[in-house]
Amino acid sequence: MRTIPRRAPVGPAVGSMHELSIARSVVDLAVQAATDDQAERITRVGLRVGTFAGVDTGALDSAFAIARLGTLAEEAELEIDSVALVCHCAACDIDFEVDDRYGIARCPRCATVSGDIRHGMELEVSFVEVV
Amino acid sequence: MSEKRTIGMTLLSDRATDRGRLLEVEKGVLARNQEIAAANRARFARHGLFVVNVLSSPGSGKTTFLARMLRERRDLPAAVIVGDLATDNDAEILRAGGAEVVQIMTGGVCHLEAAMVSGAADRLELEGKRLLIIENVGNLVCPASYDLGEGLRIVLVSVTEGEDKPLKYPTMFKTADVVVINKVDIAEPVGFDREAMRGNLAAVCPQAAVFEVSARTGAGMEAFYADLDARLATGSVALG
Repeated sequence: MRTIPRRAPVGPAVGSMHELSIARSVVDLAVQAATDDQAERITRVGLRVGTFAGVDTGALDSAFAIARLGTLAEEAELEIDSVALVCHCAACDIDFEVDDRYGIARCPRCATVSGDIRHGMELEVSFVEVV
Repeated sequence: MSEKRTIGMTLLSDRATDRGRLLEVEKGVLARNQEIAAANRARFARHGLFVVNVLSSPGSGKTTFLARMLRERRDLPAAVIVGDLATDNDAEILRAGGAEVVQIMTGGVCHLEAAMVSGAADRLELEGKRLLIIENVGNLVCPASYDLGEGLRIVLVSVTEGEDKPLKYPTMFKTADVVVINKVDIAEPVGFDREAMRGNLAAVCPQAAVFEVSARTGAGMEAFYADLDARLATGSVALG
């Protein structure tokens, strides 16, 4: 029997059911794409996660390690591309990246706080690598 | 600023030629939920229903707030869907307010999904109703990511929870159309810093309309009702 290499959980270990159910959806989408392609197995899954998507990437890592078992993605690695929060300032008509841990989106030009989110809530499978 | 992290270990060579084929997928992980939410939204619109998703931490007073609203606004025929981990206490309290109530017992699941709401709506008489209220599971993290097909998202926060709640759960507050600060009747004894809370809300979720109420005494509810009536009149549907 081959053992699946796995990382130790980071951050809150598979804490919420939420990350596990998201990991299952990621695996389902990846397996669907691989099956449509008549692939043998999945080697890598690319995921785009906004910093304000409400997903703990550490917990998602751990959840993915469980969700992939017994599927075409059993040996797949998860590649998380994190997407920064970008908001739009209506007054200046510009998009700006928000570098604030609380997501307080102050326009760098006029200092108005914006609630108009353009990026940073993503939760998408971008690619699947198969053999 | 994009940070790449690779999880797990590849059993393959690093040489690109040995790696597999790349399939572009570009699919939202919650796409299925969003499709069902869109179907819910269309179905609710056909019945002329205004749908409200109510979210908060456990113990912020969602049930008390909704019970008062149902009691005081009997002019708005309402149906309620209640998400609860294990009990049906909340459903009983809301039924007493005169509304038709169905409960989704999530059995430990930390949030409601659009499919659960669709199934619950099948058990309700939607015809003749004006409001459909969805009381989500008490949790400020997970439910934020799940569109249920609502037209309005209300986040409740009580004065006992600390003024930094919006900073701790920015994702939830950023998706709110309305924030209701509850239990203002005990603001003073618990040392609630109103200015700090209003400041944090204005910084994290400038898009949200904010109301201060006491669901227990009824203080401040009129202003909330006025806003709700204005939204009902314009049929304003937030969250696409």
